[in-house]
Amino acid sequence: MVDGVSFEVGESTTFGLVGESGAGKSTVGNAILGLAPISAGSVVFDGVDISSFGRRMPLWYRKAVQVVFQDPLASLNPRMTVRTSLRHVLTRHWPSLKRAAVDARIDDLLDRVGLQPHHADRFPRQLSGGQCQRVAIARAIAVEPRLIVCDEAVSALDVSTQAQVMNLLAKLQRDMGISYLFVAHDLEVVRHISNHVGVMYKGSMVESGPVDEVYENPSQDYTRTLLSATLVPDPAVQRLRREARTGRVHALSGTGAELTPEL
Amino acid sequence: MPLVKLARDRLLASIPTLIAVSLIVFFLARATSIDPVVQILGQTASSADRAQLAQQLGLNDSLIAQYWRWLTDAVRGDLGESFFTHLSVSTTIMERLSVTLSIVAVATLLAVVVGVGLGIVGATRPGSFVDNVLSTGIISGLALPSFWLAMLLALFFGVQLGWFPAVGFVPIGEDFVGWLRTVTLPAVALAVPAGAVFARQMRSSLIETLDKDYVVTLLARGVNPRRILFSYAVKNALVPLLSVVSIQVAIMIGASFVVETVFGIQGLGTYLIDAIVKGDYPALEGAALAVGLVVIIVNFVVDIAYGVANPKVRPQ
Amino acid sequence: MSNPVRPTTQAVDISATRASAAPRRTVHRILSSRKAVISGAIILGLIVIAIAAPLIAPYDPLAPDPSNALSGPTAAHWLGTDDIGRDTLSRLIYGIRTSLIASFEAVIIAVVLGVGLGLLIGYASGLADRIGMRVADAFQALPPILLALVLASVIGTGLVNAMVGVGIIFAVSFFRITRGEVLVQRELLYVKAARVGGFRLRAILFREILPNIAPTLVVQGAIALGMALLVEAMLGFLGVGQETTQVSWGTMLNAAQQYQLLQPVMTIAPGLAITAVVLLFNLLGDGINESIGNDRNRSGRAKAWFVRSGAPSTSRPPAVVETTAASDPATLAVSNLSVVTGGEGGTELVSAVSFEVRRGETVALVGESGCGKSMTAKALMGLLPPGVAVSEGSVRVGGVELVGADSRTLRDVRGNRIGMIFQDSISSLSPVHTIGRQLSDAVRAHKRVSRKEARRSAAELLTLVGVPNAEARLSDYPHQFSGGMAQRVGIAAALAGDPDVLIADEPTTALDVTIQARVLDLLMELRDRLGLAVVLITHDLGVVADSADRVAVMYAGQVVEYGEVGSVFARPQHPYTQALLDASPGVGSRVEEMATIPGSVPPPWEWSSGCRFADRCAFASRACSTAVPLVNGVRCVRADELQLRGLRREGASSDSTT
Repeated sequence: MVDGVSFEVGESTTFGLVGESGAGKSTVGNAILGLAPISAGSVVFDGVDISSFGRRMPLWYRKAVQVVFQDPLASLNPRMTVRTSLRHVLTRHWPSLKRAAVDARIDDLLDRVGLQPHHADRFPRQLSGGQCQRVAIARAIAVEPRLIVCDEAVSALDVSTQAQVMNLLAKLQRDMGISYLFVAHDLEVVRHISNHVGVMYKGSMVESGPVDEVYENPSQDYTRTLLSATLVPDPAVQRLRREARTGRVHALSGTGAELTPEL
Repeated sequence: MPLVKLARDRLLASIPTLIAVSLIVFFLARATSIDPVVQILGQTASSADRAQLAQQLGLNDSLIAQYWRWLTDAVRGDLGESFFTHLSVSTTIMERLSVTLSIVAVATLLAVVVGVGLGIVGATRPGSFVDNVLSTGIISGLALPSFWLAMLLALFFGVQLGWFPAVGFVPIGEDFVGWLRTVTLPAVALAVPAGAVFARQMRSSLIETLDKDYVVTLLARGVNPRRILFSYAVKNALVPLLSVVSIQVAIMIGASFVVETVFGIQGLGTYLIDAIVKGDYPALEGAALAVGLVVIIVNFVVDIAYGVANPKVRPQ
Repeated sequence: MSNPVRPTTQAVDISATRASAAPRRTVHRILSSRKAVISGAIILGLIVIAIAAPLIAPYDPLAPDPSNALSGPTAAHWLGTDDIGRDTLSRLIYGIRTSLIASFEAVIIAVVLGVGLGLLIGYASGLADRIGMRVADAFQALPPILLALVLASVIGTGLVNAMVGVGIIFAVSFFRITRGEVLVQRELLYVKAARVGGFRLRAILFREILPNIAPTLVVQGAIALGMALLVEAMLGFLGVGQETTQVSWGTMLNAAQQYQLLQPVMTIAPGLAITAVVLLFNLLGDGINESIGNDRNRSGRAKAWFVRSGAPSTSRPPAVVETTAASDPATLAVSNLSVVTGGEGGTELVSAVSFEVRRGETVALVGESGCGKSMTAKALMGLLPPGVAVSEGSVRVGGVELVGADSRTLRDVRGNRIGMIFQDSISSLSPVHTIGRQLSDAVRAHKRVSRKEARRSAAELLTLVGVPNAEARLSDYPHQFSGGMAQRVGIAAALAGDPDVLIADEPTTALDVTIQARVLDLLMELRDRLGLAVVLITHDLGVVADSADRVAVMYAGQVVEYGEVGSVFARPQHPYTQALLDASPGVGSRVEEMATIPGSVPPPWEWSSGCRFADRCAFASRACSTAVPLVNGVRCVRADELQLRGLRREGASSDSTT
């Protein structure tokens, strides 16, 4: 499904992966997480090829690489309180941790993601979407990971909550030196949060590079199409883009040679 | 074409199931604690006689060899002959099966028509008085043992009122009216619990369907609500009913074995029970295999119907 | 009607939060179901009777009394006696023991075996799963009673043995159910997160997945208890697997059959007993199912629309407000529209919303989830969910008042005067009908034309919305369309009745950016070509900037700012509008820290009587605690004194990517 995609995520940086649905962005994230098979090539983490692990990932890798998914409510077990969810993660990786120490860590984690201690005893459905996403982030950073795969991590949130969560991710990166693989369809969000960006189209990466370079000076037609189709809340800009867009669509509509054929 | 491909896929998929059925049937039959040799010769027979009979019946060969022989014969349509009556098992099964299946077919038809109808009535007025009465009836129907219902029907309509014969069966080929009269009570006995299952399923899946986005969209387009109900919602709600039907057919075949004994009908049930009690391996194995085959065929038909009703499952 | 109604998809979260303000675990919810508690209590009572049978039963159930055979009900024998004079009532009471032991034995075996295998095989999948499913198929191809008869003969006679066999048979269906549930759960994000967390298989199966499927299994368990009892009765009736020392209702029926003409009570009593106990188990299962929320049968949409076959309308006559009475059919005038849930004095979901859309114009309703945008749209169409109604205000299309209109009028208006398209384009189409059929029906809802003509119109509509190869695609089903193409089909269907007004509820939210742009382009092109008045509901300020002429910014059920898009975005007067602009990434330069609004949109029951944004507003003052009217298109007491900076940020030029 995904073919010959190569990129690197540096220490304490963010690599953004953009593209439309079916482009294979999430598949790349899942392969790194060991949730999807790797048929060829390699994912090298700290010099270790993870495809050599076989079916079960070693615990040190699970401790090093974490995930935050798109749907905050669905990514928490509905039958566990926040505390229970976090405790399971902590005791899995630090089995000798005493109960009191675990609780102290939980309070600390909640504080870091901007939640109150009383949130620990809530069930996911008693929290708002933004709060659930904070819990998911707390769970991810609980193991002190080096890399977090953010799979559309802010896409399901309302715009004000989205900004809050993006700020939180940026703060955690500064404080803990975490790297992010930030998978998203929203180009502006990716632009805001990433240092490097890769543009995926139909399973391959068509362009990658430093964010400003790719956004200011795209080398590929597809990247340009994506950028011009992106809507920004500026009527003046949109008027220009609309004209550019409809102009081209009209030019091409006779030939049917559109870039992304809809089926 | 997609439907042809679906039929081929389903057909191929049912072969391993059929083989698994044959294995279960054969080895379970052979694991029963009843020794046919003792049943035929009696407890007093000499061990030499027993050994000779066992040899004659082919019981001394390895089980694997016996299974292979039975399976290969069965593929050719030969299920051997009964240890006791020495009649061809295939012939007897065809006779008995046609009786059982005609009862089950009538019962299925009754249960589906009435069940779906009541389900629609309930679903369109959930929580109303009518719906509450129906739901009470349905949940009671689910709890009724069909053979007890059969006894009550025989007692009331057969003996008390004399509308239908309380015992016996007339094959459909002999006399249609006679068949109809004898098939009615056993079919009703089977249809009540099954119909309750269908009504319940139809009611809940129709209610769920009426809550779907496309129903609201159809309303927003100004399509007549009656039309939405009957040509859209009901069709969508029937799809999940299909798999319930195929499960119920297997259950009804089993229940009909017991109902047949109530009405003294010489169906497959009495044949099977007799075979189990006596250790008549060929009869037991043959009859059970035939039942398995019938259910697999029903499942196949339902799968195709599912493909017709639900375009998503058709292979592209 | 104590449950909060679910107004919109967004508000589901809100009402769920409210309902669970006090944490209620599954056990508590089951205990609050009358059906489950009553049937459970009776079953407990039966268990007590079964244990205390020797104390309760008037006679020894096995002691014959030939002098008193086949007696009818008498003072000595309340339910009469059987063929050898044994007391029927005593036998019934002892029969409870047999029934309960048999049912629980079979179901416990079935659950342990079936659930265990189902969890393992379902999670492992692959070859084990394929083999497991074939074996399960084979077992289910044989009627349970047949297998039970044979197994009884294999394992040996006696009730305990026979029910082991029944347990094995039932294990197959528990295996199937568990496997199916595991397959679903395995793909859910919380399980994936658990895998990424490095949890052991045991922990994932038993700690993460099992509690989530347990409620379903408990329901199935209760139903299986009843089924096991029925099978036990059949076995007893056939005389298989029974010992003479055990009193079984099935065996009693067997004896009754020979004497039913002489003594019908013998037939009736045990049968009623079986039915009653099976019914109890079923009711218990039902009660549990309803209390854990699996049963959606009480949902009322169907009731509201198909019984009264009309739309729920206003709860009290509208306070008619005169608007600029435009008689142009392509004018939608909404004034002072309020929507409440829970009837008179209930919670307001939309408060006094007013706006107007004219021919060839697009007005956007923009805001975050829970601000009442979609509820407003549904109110315009008269498609509010049950329990939610327009409490005040007016909606006029070309001069026709829709609030309080009868169902006929509304049906004429829907599709014909106002068309509507929805966010989820695929699920807005019936999956089992062809596109041609659905479009033709939309056409025929408004025009008396033949099927053939309707189909021709359908093809024309598809061409109009830019679906290539329209004629051929009429016979395709919705799942054969991509999201963007399905949205075009949705637009075509909405245009089938030649409406003057088109309401588009988040029409591009689910679509990719390139497709989104094309669908918006199509909408705007159709608006110009057909002279439509378009209401565009969206949460995306980019969509507003791209396609709308005017915008109504909604917050907590109110319009807080209303005006031309250009001026609202360049010089917002309401702090919320400014906050939305600031929180949208990508306007101008990249700044390290994005501006945010603290907190989140309050749920409807927490809306204050003053300014609803005050709690989150950087400019809030004491004056904000009193009700704020919409003055000159802005609902803010400090509108005049605030100098909001609009789109421009410090050091930011206009966007430079194009």
